[in-house]
Amino acid sequence: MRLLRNLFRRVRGLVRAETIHREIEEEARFHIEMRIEENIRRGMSPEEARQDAERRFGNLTRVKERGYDVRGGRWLETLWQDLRFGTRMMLKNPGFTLVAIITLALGIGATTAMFSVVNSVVFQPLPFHEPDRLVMLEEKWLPRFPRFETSPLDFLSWKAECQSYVDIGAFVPVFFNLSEGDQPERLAGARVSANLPGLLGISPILGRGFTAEEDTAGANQVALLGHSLWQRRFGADPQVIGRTVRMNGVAITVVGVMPPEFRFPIEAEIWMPMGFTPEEIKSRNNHFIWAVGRLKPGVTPQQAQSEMDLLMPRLQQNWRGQVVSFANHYIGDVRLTLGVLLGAAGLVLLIACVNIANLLITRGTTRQREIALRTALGATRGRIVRQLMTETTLLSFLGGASGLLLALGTIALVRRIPLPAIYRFEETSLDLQALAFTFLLAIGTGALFGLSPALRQSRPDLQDALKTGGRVAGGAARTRIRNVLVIAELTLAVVLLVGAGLLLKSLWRLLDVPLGFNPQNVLAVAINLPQTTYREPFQQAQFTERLLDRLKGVPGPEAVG
Amino acid sequence: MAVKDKTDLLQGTFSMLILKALSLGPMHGYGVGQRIMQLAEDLLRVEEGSLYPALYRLEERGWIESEWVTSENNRPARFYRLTRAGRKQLQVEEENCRRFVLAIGKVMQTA
Repeated sequence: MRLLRNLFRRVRGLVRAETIHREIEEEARFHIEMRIEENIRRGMSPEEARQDAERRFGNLTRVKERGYDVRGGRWLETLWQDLRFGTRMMLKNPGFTLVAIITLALGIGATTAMFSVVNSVVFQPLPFHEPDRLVMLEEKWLPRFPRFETSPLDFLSWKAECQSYVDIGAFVPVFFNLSEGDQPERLAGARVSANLPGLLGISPILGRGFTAEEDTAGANQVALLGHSLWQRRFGADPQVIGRTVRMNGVAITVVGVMPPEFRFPIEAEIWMPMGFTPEEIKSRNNHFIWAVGRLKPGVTPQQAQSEMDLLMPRLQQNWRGQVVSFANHYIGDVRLTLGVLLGAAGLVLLIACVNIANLLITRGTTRQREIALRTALGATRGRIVRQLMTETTLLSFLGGASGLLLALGTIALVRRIPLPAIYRFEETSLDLQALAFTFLLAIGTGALFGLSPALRQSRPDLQDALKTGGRVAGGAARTRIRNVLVIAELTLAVVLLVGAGLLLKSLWRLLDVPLGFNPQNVLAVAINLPQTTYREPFQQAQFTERLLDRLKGVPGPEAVG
Repeated sequence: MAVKDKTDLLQGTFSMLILKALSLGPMHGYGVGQRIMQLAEDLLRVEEGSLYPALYRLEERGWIESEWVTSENNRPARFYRLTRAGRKQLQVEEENCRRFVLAIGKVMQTA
């Protein structure tokens, strides 16, 4: 309670420094006046009285200063003084300052960035209703096809016969040509079974989902718009429901708009109902769709898998089914890589901390002389500790801020690089918890070791320190600590180097796989032909021939094929 | 004894005297100094400059509290008064001091 009152008074003292000065002055004046009256009563002349009174009071300025100090109005000025001094010291030793800041920045920045990526990719829950009940139903035919799509007929059989699921839906990623207005655009989208959005637990924010009738070939000329598409091409028009747009040469009616976080599967912006065509369900071996199931409450993935194992031999000769958790399907492969990278970042942070500690302890030794001098001049230990702490905190802050900038820069870079292999890579955003943690760790290390020179002055052997301070190594204990730190740092650095070297080697090998042809100066173009105009394969072949003819005439390419 | 300890002891004794003076009734700073010298029957000279920092320090620690009052000669003055915690602290310090004096007495008595 008293602490609170004192704190309150100090803050108030800050704001009303003038008042405090004035009050102290008043009190001093009062005292002196009383003394003067007393003196006059004793028979002194007014002049003598005043002189005597002022003399007895002592140095007025000094009293006022001490009073002001105790009343606590001084701490902000002290802080400002410390900051200025700290900055001056840092500028005087640019090498030390730079190394310290860079070390902190790398440690904090790298770890935070890595953590943010891992957080977005692995830990953020998928934006579906109860995502841990969702499973992907894949097919496999070992050893050539460990994970493969399923076929419409298999999907329909599963829907009819499997008991483990509340419902099963299907989807296939497709590209659409939107030829609305004067800017044709190629959109990533998907054909989905009508029950899929409901299965995932996402409802449209405008309009409605697909009906079962629309999920048939010929009747599926409807579409759901993605949120960003709706904003981008349709100006977020609330009257967009019922509008028709031309896609792949066909008039499609918009029936709904999906919420912003729905981009399933990867980066889809527009969805149409599946509507299996007769050719698609002609053969059971037409594997091109993915199936999603929601497990019934109480059913484990293992139970579902057993059911699948019993069912598949009846449907297929060579293919078997597998039940894979959603998280596993999307993130599984990448987890190992991310784990390794995270470990590496952690090592960097550790090295950074050890480095900082070492730097600070070394600096502490060189500053012993200065500290001894200040103690001899009358500085209390508290004052010195405060000053060192301010300096260290300032340094840590600068390092931390640089680290934050580095992390933000790295994350911005990460978001730009299209790595579709890693789901949600592009959604990486700064993980505040990671930032806070690394910040505190680095600052804590700084504080701990930055105070070492002050704490060692418990019994100031001033003469000794004044004479030799700055040159002496600083005692056996300190040297031992320094040795331990150096060894630790070297060890960690070597581990990191070796790990990095190995990773680089693997990456090199990957890139070096011969493609089978010389890719120099070869341009590959993917063309999306609208299905309505070029439905038949012979039409597609005709188009290709015409295209090649035209291209051959164009100057530039050496050969076309 | 290291330098620091000596000033501590002096400061502590001074604080105790101030607390004792105030235990007889609230007073302003000047009055406190006078009262101490009066009680010591003029055997002590109070350094007037260090009165106020000492008073402020005691107030920081919550053993005395102050308020501005118009005094006898119609000037505003800050009056100090002992708090309950201060009263307790005074007892503690009195006891410590007594023991200290006793110890020193014993040592010095051995001829």
